[in-house]
Amino acid sequence: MAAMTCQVTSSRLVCVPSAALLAFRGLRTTPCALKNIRAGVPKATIHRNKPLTYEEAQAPYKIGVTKSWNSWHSANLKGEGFDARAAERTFDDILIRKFIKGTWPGLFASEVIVKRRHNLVVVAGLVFQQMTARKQYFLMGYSEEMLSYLLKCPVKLEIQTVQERSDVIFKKI
Amino acid sequence: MEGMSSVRKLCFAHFRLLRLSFDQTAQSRTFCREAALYQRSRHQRNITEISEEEEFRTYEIPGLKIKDDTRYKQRKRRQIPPPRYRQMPIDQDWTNVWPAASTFKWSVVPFPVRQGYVETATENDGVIPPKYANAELMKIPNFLHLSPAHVKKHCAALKEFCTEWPAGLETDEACQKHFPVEVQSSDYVFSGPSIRDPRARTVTVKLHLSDLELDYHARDKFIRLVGDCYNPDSDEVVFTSERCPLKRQNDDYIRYLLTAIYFESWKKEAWEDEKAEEDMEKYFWEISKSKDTVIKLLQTTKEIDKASASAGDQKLQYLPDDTSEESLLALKEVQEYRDAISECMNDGEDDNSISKYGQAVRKLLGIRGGVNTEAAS
Repeated sequence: MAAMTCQVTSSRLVCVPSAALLAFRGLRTTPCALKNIRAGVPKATIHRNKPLTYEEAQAPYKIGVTKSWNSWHSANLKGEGFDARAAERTFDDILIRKFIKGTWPGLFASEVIVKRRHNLVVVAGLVFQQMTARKQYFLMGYSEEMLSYLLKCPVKLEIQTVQERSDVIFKKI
Repeated sequence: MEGMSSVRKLCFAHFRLLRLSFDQTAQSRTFCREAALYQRSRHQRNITEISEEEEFRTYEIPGLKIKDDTRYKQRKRRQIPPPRYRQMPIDQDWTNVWPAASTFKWSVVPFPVRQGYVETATENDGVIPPKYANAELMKIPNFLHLSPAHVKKHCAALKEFCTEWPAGLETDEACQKHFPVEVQSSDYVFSGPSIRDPRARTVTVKLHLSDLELDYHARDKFIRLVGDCYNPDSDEVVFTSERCPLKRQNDDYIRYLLTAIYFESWKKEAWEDEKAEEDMEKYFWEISKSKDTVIKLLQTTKEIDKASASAGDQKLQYLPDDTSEESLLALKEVQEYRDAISECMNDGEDDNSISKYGQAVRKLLGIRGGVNTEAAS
């Protein structure tokens, strides 16, 4: 990228390799436009009444800027080799999210947050107060038990409840 | 309005029907009650009432007449008590409130905190989201379990397992003197179900060569045996091992290595005497060509001086009559020359050593001149 000259045209960044570089490489290239800024960005409606949570309102390129990660583990740190098993951790996270989505249907107000403290897996998130507390405690115990058998680690659910749906609405588009 | 109310009535009828089907397995008393409701819907009741009273429908203003909705009241929501932080005394023990690492709980944290980025007034009314219902605050790691009060308690708990620092080891030099060998190894923790890490088996042993008892030959041999492990700038030899699967095995291996090299370096093999000038670790004037040249030069000069009869024509005054090698080597000028050239060769050339060399050469050859010549040269 250092060898290329970039021209900013409106909202797109068009990167053109310098003439010297092109001549040296002998390649025929078209200018590559970094256009992928649409993935994960919700479309605005005419009536501006589509509710978004804070997380949904931030686009993927805001991860690490105004939006934080949902999975926290040490397998992706620098210096950790293959034995950290980052792929297995990622798969475990997918399994946890599918499980929670099925066990708590329509009840999670936020994304499922997965944290790992050594051997302990902590599943956190915001849940609506639609059910009685008894049902909620049952689901928590059930989830913890089933997930710990599936993942072979102790699993703890640290969820918080939210009274109304409007409490988590950040923006309407 | 009529259309809307009829839709609502249909919905209620449907609801009643559902309740009926759901309670199929319920008690017979419940079933009878539901059945009575199902038989006579509100719509039918209204029609019969109207036809009895008048011909025209009455216009019902919405909101004016309070409708009886007792049957369809929502399930009473249990009163949620106020958050815990409202009942916290100021001087409470925070270590009891937040004993271990935990996700952020808005109702337990007693201070106001906001997290989020708001760009325009349309987002959350232009206000940064508060701690209630804030998933971002739950995501990030917090250190509320490591407040100063926590650390104090941890230290107090660990103190009973600690001993005093040994007397006599206050300074680094004292530690180095009494414990010259430094052994380094690491243990690794990370998130995951396994405790194994291949980096944990690496062991490094460091020591200074000056702490070992070695004579000149042994030291030279040791350095040659050890190779890259020796750092001449810091006089440190570093052994690293990760060839064995376990840390203890690597540690034993390095100890064996060190012992073997140490005793080997004290032994002198027969073939070591075949060491030639190019194998030498530093410049030795005694075995160099320079010595032969100087001796020969001085001997030749002495012969010339002997041949020339007059005393004034002597080239080198200081040469003794006996021109054997031993007597020549004992000469002050020759020794000065030897020191100067050895310094240049071994320690590198700089202004000081080169000027010394120049001085020595002039003295040896009896040449006058130079920048730093003394008055009587």
